[in-house]
Amino acid sequence: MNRKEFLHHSLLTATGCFLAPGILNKSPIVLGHGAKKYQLRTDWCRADPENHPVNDAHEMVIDQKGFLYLLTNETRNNIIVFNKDGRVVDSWGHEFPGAHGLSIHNENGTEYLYITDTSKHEVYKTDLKGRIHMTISCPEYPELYSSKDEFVPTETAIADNGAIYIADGYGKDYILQFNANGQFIQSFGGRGAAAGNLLNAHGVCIDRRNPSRHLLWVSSRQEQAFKVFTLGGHHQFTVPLPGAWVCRPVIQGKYLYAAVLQSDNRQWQESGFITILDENHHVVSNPGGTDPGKDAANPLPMYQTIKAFKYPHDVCVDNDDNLYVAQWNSGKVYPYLLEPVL
Amino acid sequence: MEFWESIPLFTRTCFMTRNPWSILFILLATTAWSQQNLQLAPPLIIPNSVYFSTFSTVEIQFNRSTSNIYYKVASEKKASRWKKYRKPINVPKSAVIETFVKEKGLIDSEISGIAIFKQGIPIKSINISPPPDDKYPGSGERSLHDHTGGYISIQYPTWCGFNTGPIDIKIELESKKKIQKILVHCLDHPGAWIHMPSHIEIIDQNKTALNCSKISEIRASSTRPGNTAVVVQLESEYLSSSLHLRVYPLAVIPEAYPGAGQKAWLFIDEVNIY
Repeated sequence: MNRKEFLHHSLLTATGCFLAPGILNKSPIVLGHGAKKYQLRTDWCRADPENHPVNDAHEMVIDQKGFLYLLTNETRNNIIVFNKDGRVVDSWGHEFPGAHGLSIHNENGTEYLYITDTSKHEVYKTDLKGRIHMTISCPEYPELYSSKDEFVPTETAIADNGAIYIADGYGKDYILQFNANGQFIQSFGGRGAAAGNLLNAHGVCIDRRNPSRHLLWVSSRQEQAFKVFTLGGHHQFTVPLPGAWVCRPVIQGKYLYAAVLQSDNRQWQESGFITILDENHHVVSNPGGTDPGKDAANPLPMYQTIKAFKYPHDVCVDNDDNLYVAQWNSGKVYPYLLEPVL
Repeated sequence: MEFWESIPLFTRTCFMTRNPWSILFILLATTAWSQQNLQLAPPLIIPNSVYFSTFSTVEIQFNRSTSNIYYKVASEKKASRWKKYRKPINVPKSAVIETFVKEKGLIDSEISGIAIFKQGIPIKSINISPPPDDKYPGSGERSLHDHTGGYISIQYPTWCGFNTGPIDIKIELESKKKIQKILVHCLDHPGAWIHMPSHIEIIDQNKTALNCSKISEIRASSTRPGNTAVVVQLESEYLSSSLHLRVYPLAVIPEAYPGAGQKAWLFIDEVNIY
């Protein structure tokens, strides 16, 4: 070893010794509260933006085989399919410029996707390879809509009998019920001051936690609440979520998960987080947000405390309780992973 | 060969030396690089009133027990240093309160702030022409001297929103007073196309503009959107029981702001006269 090499090695060694203690002591940031704590992995997705670009990463679902379907309004690939390692295994879809809502439903052993398009004002039922099997447009009922463009569907939920519930969350805030063949049955919700009215009915899902009584959960996002209906459209109760602009509810096991687009106190300032409710409809954890507190009857105003997310738009939960978070208007990022901390 | 060349030269050199310390350094540096440096969000500032007669009690909230809140208060003549927040603070003067949070292992939050204002000469009535836009009517003319509101939220119902101008604000005082200074409280929220006025005139009873100058803006400088007061100073004291302000909204939103080229909105909540 000559003098130059000696100096080189010495410099690197000294720098390594100086940095090592600080680096090794740095513990990962844990998000969430109580039994629902997570470690954030922003690098979960291994997609190449050149080959599989995203614009707004709107929603995600998981199929029975464990593949994750991401819906984006990037028409080079409206759907990108990932395995749980974050590798792309498939992609398709060029015809959904306003791709917004994505649901999955098992129909007699075959899984179908339901895609809402806010630009084309339509809802599409496709198979897992993107073949369209049904299209639902604005119902022709003048008392509801004077033009097709007033119908701006953001989400769907499919009941066990095949009934399709469409949330008109960027339109007139109705929940529209169709039968399995796409025939219009009825509407409920809509704007107004009554308990069953909605303001920005952004998301909808079927709650099957009580097998004998399925319920329909709807986000009334600007009102910062979930509103719960019977499958016949009768309002049952409201779950206030002060401060939280909640997107669609996602139920897995006994918990309900939702992306919170933003905190009410910092609107349009990238102030989103995730919220988790237990089977009693009490907030038990807010990854990236405030401690829910102990007094479930009087929920504290919720808001972002750590800038882990910008505008989270949907949460997908797998069987291992991993959360995959899709984000709107957040720099075209791929979904982030929240791994449970045991 | 391609894989090897894709590795940065510095890293390749370290591995080629086969020095274990060099390799350890690279591994540690890589670990550090992949660690997340997350930033705290700013805390909430909650004054019991933005407009007050004797003092305002300001509470700062950040519901995360492992973080510490810091704040400072800057009035017209004096600015405090950063202090650790322990309990609500009473502020007896018009001031700007700024705050941030700190926690080991996380990046400090941005500084957020709010301005609060001591009430001025009592106002008997205000007449506004043209009236506020239907979408943002506030509570009518009363909004501008009801000592409520001032919060940084478009939805807060005390903001009167205008999308046309100029706006004539005619003020009747309860009695004849010496007037030196006028504060017009506006919302500064460029992201929502809401901008500060381009200028303000004070017109006397002969309908001629008085000599006055905009001397400053009272605002939490770090915060946008923010509640801001435009301070207009008369060159000489003006003895009167009435006052006529003409407020000019920004005619065109400048480049680099959302809505560039469109008419700007002007949101006014309160007028204070000193």
